[in-house]
Amino acid sequence: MTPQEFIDGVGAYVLGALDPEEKKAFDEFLESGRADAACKAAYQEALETAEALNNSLPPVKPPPHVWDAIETDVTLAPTRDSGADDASFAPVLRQAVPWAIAASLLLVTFLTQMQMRNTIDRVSALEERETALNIQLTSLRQDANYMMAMLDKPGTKLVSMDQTVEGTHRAAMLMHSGDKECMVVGTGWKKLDDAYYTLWFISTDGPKNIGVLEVDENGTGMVKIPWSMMADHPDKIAITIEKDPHVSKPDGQVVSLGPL
Amino acid sequence: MAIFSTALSAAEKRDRSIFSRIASGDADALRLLYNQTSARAMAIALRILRSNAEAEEVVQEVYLQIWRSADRYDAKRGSAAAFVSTITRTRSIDRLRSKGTADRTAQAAAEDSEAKPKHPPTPLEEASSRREREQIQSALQELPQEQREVIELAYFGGLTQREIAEQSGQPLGTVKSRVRLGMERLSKLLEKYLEAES
Repeated sequence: MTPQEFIDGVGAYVLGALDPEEKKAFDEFLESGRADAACKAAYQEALETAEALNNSLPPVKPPPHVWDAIETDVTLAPTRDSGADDASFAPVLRQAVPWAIAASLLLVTFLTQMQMRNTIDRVSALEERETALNIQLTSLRQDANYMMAMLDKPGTKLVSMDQTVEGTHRAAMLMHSGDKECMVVGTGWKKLDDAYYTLWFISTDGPKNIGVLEVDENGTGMVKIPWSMMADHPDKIAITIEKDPHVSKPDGQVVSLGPL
Repeated sequence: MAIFSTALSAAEKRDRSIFSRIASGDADALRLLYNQTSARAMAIALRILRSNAEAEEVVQEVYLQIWRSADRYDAKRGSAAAFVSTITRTRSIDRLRSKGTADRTAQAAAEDSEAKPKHPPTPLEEASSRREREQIQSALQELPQEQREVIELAYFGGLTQREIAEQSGQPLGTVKSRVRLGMERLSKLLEKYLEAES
């Protein structure tokens, strides 16, 4: 890539509008040190222009529960810094006059530090696990709250989907046309390792891929469907098992089906 | 655009300080950053995802990510606000792409957001940012429509130039030219507005 080619494409680069191979070439050009002053100036200017696009949007204050959820997670996992007070034994060592005592202390110190480090590692691992679980819990809580709020709302329509193959899986769709909200919930689904439960709206124009039902270890899952997906006035909803979750036409086994 | 540079040093120090405090586990610093930047993050997520619920989830994820990895912030590569905006935009577009939760068509990305914010900003917040926003919107409006559209499709729709060309039926070379000319023109227009202001 020449400096002029970089300058010509830097706008698309900062907008994120390049294909992966093109982006890689720009990344490498920047990292290679071949960018001259003109390239750097063009890059900086493009960054500022892109940032201005963010500022063109009217600010939207998030509702209070967003911060509440963040604060809960932060409080439960207060710090990742497990910096040990490893130097606490150093003064003792310096004050030990007899070499034999010093050697003994050194050994004790070493063993103690090893033990401390092991403990700290274990605590860090537990903290990481706790953080991950807290994030998962927050997500589940949000999903449950969202579902309960929809169920409580007058006018919410509940569509139960039928199994098309034997199994424990159950699925239903909740939708509220007034508030333009739609979601699919499932229980009893077997977790798949290399395939996806793919959702489809079926209308007279044919099937339309509307997303994936991701299930957890307990076999439950929930997915919100953008109301814009209802634009084709679908009359059925189906779930198939697909190797590729982004396929435009269903290819895998239909496992659940319901009328809308 | 260089008129920003005079104030950069003080702002850089302030941003570094906030992120340093967050990295050491100071939740108050995270709250401070959230108060300063979350309205813009929410606006970006809402503009891209067009769903209040999903935008709120993304905003939550963004600040938890910052909490966990604040030490990765480099003030030399941009302000704290820009850093938050970048993470928000990246996460929103990732979500858009991975879950297929939106019609990423040219029409859908170009039209105004259907999502209505449930919590508009306070009058003080609104007043402080309105002037700058109006200037940027004026600059955007001065762009030829076809240039403005490709820029918005790329930045807020998460589409590549190739995808824009495929969806709009325009030759790829035409789309590339529009992006390049649009960004160059927008930069000059912004400079003109900001210089007039100063």
